[in-house]
Amino acid sequence: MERGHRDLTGWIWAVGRVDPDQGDGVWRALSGLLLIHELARTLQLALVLDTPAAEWRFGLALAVLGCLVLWRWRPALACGLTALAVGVQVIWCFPFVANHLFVEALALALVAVAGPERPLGIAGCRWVAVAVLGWSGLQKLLHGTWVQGSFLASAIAMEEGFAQAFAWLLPSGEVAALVARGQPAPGSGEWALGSAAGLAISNGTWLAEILLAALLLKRRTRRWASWAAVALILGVQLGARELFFAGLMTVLLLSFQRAAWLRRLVPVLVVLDAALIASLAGWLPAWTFN
Amino acid sequence: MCLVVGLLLVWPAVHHAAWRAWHFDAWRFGGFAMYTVPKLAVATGLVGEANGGWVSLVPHELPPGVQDALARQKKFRRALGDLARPDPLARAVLALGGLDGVVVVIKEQHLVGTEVVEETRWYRYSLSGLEDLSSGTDFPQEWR
Repeated sequence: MERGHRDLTGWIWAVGRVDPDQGDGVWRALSGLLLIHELARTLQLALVLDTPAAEWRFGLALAVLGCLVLWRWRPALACGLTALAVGVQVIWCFPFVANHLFVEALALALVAVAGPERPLGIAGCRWVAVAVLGWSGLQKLLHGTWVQGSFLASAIAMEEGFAQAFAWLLPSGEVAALVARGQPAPGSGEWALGSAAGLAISNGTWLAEILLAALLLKRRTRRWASWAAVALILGVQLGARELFFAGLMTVLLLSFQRAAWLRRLVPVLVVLDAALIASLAGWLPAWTFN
Repeated sequence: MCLVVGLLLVWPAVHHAAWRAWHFDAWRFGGFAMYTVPKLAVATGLVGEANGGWVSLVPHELPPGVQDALARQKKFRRALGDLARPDPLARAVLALGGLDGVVVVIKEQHLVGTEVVEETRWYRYSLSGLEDLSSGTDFPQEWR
């Protein structure tokens, strides 16, 4: 490198470089998993949206299925075309676009654009995981609703899923009292968790998100931090019940692991996504699909 | 690649600043601020102006076209916050005729710290031009 010139791009490798013998395997598994996930996502939107016409919505799902087949021979192109399909869905849904769509489009685009530079595509997906995890924690802190547990208190009062999950974690009287208060409204008093367990969970959540995102950037800690982050994401689903998003984040977090772990995730993701689609179509009891 | 990842890392900070300014749905627009604030009530009311006085407009008594515009306004207000001005709704109401103007009242509840607060905004439109003439400083107390 010439004197006076600094490498402004080296920071991209702060998420680690995949081992050379793992690069192809991780990239192929990661790209395949993202495509499987996106096929389910496209089917989900085809089932729940009212516009545009059904032939367009299911046609797009068919196109993504075609990309999944194409992946066998031209994986980068398949990911790029699927990223465009996600872009179409963003336009259809705007402004009511879930953040997951942005995450999916970005991950697919990064994997595609990196092309033959597969370690770079993997690094891109790792950064997406770090950004989502870290900023989820930072935003909780910035909005000021997690230090005293005010968001969780309101969520327990408003949503059955949260009340059921926290019935196991908090003193029973606290959950019952919050549920009895009903919908938070002006003049309804202070919304906060009073128990030590509640405050520990509330503050522990955003702290863990920020800390784990930071630990993903350190070589010695990133492998186990990615597992810890997966556990955190799955634990949050006890209340949030966003299984589809949990699947996506698990895929991205496992980009920090060896290819074998990602390959093991394939049948799990296929079964989960199939069950979620079946529940949306009414063939299975309704789950939360988000 | 670096530019895209850099934008990804910076955007949520921009998102937070924009949210503070415009109060759109923090759960959207890529800020990763899901589960930061609960989705509380947003209510929209209409008050007509005619012959120097105020006229109560009851939503379910209005024509279907206005009710559709009202429902659409509520939906977009929740997503876009202050960026979703009620101009189309006001146009739909004034198109009914018989009014010199209309005031659209929007009440939004927010969790601030540990308290739920309600913020009220008034958008006043006249027939002579569809303008946001005031923020409701002289709005009658009974409609607040």
